[in-house]
Amino acid sequence: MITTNKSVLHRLMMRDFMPLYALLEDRRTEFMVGPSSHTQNWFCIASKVSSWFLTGFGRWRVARCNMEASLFRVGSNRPNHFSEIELRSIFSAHGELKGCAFQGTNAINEWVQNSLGLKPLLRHFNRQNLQLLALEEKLCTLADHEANKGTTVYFYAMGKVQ
Amino acid sequence: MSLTNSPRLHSDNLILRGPEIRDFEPMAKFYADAVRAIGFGGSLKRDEAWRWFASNIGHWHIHGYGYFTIETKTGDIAGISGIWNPEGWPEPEVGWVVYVGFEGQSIAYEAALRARIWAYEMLSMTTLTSNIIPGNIRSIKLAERMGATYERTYTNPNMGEGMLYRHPGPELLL
Repeated sequence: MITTNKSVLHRLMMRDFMPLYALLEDRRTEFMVGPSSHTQNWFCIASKVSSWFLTGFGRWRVARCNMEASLFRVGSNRPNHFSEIELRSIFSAHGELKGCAFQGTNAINEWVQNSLGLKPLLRHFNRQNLQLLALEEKLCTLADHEANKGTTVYFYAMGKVQ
Repeated sequence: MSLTNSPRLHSDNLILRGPEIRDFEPMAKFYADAVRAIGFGGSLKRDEAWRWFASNIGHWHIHGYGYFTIETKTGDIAGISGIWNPEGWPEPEVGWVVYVGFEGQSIAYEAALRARIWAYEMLSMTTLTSNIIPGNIRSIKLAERMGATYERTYTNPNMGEGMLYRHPGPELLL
């Protein structure tokens, strides 16, 4: 469990299925090739649950302090075909504009570096995802312009600007 | 190292064990073969095969059961068999896949029988099915060899039209 002054992060568990279904079936997943069917989302969540056992890291459920409502999920991921670990997140409407996304993302990045001894996380995402772009700018992440050439994807390195 | 709480089951010639990371390569190879994968939801690209592999591990943690990896007594990875019931499935099923080079040795039959008995004995399941796409003659023959009978055709969310075979229950097998 990770605690910030605004939110609490738990490892993704089975009890999180129902709130996650709601998130994954929302229009907010348009940049994640969603929304998807209930069955597709079941497979998606099942694969995320397994990440902790496969890699030692995975997705976290974020809730506001003293509240059960799930705000969003965030976490690290490295499918077999990925060269590096990436950061993924999805926000619910309740999770926006409260600073929880900012704090949660920072907390995950610190945890990955400090607890696992891994490099800062990368995130690649659709450049049209303006909300995520705004968050990355707020986090002072570094754009990898080299990786961005000729693609529709931003490739960001997490970490403070030097 | 097992990634689940799966037991290790033994039969005369086989070991059924939980998925391990080394099982991914043969799984990806199987899914890359459009002809062989057609009875198992169709061909998948490598990244999609990884998601399926990871989903099976999640399935074990969600349900306490899933697909075992089939190993021969000499340690070869010969396929998978187990109990499968993701979202959208009508009810738990016994499933099987035998990888190239391991057909014709009754491996699927022996593994599926072992998984079925485990489900009845240890999971206290009272019935099991197998979902087979029309035209998959080898799987239909195997289901019938196991004593299963055709019950109905339905639409499976992953596989499309599927034939549901009903296996004999524990009252007949235990």
